[in-house]
Amino acid sequence: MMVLAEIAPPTLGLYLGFGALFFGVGLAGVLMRRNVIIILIGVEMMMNAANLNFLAFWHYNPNPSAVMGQMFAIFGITIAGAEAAVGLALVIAVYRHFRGVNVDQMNVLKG
Amino acid sequence: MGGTSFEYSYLLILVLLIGSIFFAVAPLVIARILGPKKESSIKNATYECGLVSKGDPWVQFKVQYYIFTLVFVIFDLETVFLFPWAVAFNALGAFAFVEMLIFIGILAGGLLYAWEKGVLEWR
Amino acid sequence: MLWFVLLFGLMTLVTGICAISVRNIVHCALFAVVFFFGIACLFFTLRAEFLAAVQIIVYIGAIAILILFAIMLTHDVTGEAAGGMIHVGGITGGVVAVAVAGSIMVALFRESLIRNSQSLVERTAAAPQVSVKTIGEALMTPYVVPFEVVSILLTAALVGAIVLALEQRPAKKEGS
Repeated sequence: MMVLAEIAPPTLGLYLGFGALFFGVGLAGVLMRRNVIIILIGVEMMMNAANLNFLAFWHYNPNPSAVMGQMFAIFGITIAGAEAAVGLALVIAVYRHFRGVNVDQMNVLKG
Repeated sequence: MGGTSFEYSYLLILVLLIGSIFFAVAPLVIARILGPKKESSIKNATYECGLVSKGDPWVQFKVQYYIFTLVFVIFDLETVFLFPWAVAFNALGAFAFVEMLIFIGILAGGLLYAWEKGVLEWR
Repeated sequence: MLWFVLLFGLMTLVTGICAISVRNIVHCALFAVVFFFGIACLFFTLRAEFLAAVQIIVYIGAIAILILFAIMLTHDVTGEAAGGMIHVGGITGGVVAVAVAGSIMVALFRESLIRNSQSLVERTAAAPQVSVKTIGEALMTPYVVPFEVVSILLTAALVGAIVLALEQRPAKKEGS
């Protein structure tokens, strides 16, 4: 309780800790599941954790007029969107070829 | 906790959120508590306009659903940049207008490609 | 404020764990929606309101729909045929993920950044106030090159994804 009272306004460390946890969850999703769609969801989670870190550093920035963290996060979200579009198109193309979406079925280089 | 006016200005949204969740969940909970349960195989069957449903519900959908969503996603991402540009438009000069024209022009090239490929027509 | 951050963070963490561990892929996608919403709530607590709105518009409005449509097109709802996450590769992957997250956490809490964060807390008294207008101005003046490059990236993504997703029909069918 004392520890919580000490950080009564949320600190940078709290956000960075959550960011690390979300990154770990996303990484676990990428490494543990064999379904490509869930792997992509995991990648999106890792991107979200990175954006959270950008915004946390922006918020605890000594310069109040800085916008760099926000710009980074905007471009990060945009790139995540483009990545999801292409990634899921790849999933559909691969599904059409292999009739499945599990990564351990995709073990040939030559179609 | 030293809440400033910033926190209080979003308190209303929080109240609205809690209220909407309550209104969505409460009827389901009340129906589960009060409603009589008489299970039968006909009652548990999939309801499809009163007809007997046939076939697997997971049919292969057309890929055009995906491509329409894809075009939507790309132009949704465009609005992310359009919105701050529109808010700051008065403070910026003609240069910003030209910049946005270039931006939209490049994206319109992608849309023209999609059009040319015929993915915008429902086949 | 601290309690809100903890509440949103824990909600996001729990739904994130659910999103990667539930067997049904549709449920995974729906849990991911709640995860994205929780991230947007955390953006709100960081006073990045525009980014929170963008997060909701892009992730919940667009990417989640895209994921659901991709699931609809691949109809393999129950996911892995057998085994789920309990196989050798899965266990190794889980260990690696826990090790990575744990090492980041250890690095964070050993770092003086966190222990001496009192100065950082004081700085939030003059918390950054960045309005949408400021973002628009920044986008048009110092960040104009990345802004234009993003349009090329989006066009490339659109064209590439259409090429990938479109079925290659036989040429004679096109003519008739």
